[in-house]
Amino acid sequence: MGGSKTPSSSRIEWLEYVAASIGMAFACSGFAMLGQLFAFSTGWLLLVAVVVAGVLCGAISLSIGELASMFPSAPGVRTYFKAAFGDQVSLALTFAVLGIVTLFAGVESYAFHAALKQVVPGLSPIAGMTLAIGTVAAMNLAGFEVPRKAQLVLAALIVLLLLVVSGRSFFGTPSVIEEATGETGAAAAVAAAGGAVFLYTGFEWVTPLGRRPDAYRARIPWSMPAALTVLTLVFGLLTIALGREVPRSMLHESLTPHVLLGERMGMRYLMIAVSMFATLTTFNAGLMGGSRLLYILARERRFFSFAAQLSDRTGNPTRAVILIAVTCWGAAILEWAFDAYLEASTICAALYAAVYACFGIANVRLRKTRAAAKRPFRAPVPPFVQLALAGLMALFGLGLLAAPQGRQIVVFGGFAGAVAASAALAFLFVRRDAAPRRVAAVAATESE
Amino acid sequence: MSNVAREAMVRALTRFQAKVNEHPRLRTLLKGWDRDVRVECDDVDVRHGVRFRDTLIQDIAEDDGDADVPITMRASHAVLIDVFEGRRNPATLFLDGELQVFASDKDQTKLDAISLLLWD
Repeated sequence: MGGSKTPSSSRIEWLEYVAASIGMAFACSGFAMLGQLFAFSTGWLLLVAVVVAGVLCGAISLSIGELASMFPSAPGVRTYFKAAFGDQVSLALTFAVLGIVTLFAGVESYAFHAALKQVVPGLSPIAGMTLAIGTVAAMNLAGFEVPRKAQLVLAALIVLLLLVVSGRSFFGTPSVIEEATGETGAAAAVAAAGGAVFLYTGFEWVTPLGRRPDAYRARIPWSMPAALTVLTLVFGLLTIALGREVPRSMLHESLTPHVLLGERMGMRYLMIAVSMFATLTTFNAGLMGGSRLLYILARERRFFSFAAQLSDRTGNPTRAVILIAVTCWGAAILEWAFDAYLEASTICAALYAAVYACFGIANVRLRKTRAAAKRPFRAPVPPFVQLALAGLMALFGLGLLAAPQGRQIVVFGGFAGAVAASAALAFLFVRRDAAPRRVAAVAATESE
Repeated sequence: MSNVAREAMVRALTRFQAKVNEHPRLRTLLKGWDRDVRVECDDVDVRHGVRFRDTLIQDIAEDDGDADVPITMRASHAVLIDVFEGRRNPATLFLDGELQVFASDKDQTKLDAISLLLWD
């Protein structure tokens, strides 16, 4: 049954988890958000916001690691929150995550188009976005998985290229010296940190990927802080390099600020390649993870049963993949038609901040309600600190929502709409499942 | 206790093997899916290997747990017996964290597809 595990294969396995976590966080839309952050702030304050967001995500990842060790291999968001908060709240948060995947797909596919257009100038937005979503959906339908070793290589390549392009900018005189600093107030810093959380989102999608039970003792839990350390370093250096080389006005107008930097450093095509790799890894994980989540919900009778249909040939949840792909494509078209990328990414970041805050709260709650449960990994963070970090994360999300940028009515409306829709769907599906049982219970009582 | 548990597991897996090997639609689903699956209890020392070859479950054998396998299913003895006898929905157990499946996404879905075809 294959070969035994050796120390070196354990190390490679851990690196694969780190790479998977890094790969899922890197996205074209992350670079777009990094450019947007220059609208809130610049200089050291922005760098501090990027680093603080990374450190905060790193601290919360330890709570997620503990939850993963309690429920190894489980689809994180649904399982952890169900154990901590019950069926309905968990379902609402799961729908919120699916909402994030949908909104994110619109931003990501447009950012992908913006990068690809620099190589194929005539490419229309609809064609570019359809290509991105269609390719990933087709890969999923065909049952193609990016091999783990290839993911490791891709993540390493992205990190290396971004470090090189940032590093090169430090060897010359800065091109941008006259730039005025951005906002310096506390509100701007909080908003920038809230936006910066978006750069790291997705790191926790590594939790279901453990290959064996013992991976959850240390390898999976520590892979996330390790990945976030690398990501914080990369985004920190990229922030400094962008501030030195690209005028602020260009940065917050651009969806591909890393390509602007690449142009100045003679690495334009390599940065376009980074965009392609980033979209491939994140998008594939998002679409695949989203469709799997939808399929599992349908199997659990918490979503329409048609999404539980599997292909006889590949065993893939065909309808769930198609449903997610079509919804993502629809969101992409809407975001493009209303030029709502900034608003969509702001809503995603704020929702994600709320979800991350819930992870911290869930872990503290489970330490009380399931104190005796096995925890092969225990977050080395006291519960009150975990709660404080969750509060800080929520504050960052709120700060971002309140920041004066884009069309605020769209941001508020979109955020409130996403929360309300998630809660309503959860209520309806839990109630729909309970209804026949109530009828049966009444019938049983009457017959007595 | 361990011997009784082991025998119960072998009975459940053998019945599961018969069902899988008899089901016509599973021939299409399992085409090209040659995998070794470890079935491991987390409350008693019982561990078995299930070998899928040429669209059939070819072999069920005790497993020492040393070798690296692409798929490991892990749960309490009672839960595993219920899963292989079709009494409980593995998808729900998986979501509730009662059943752990260590495998690629594709292999996880394939396992769920088997249970879906056999029992739903």
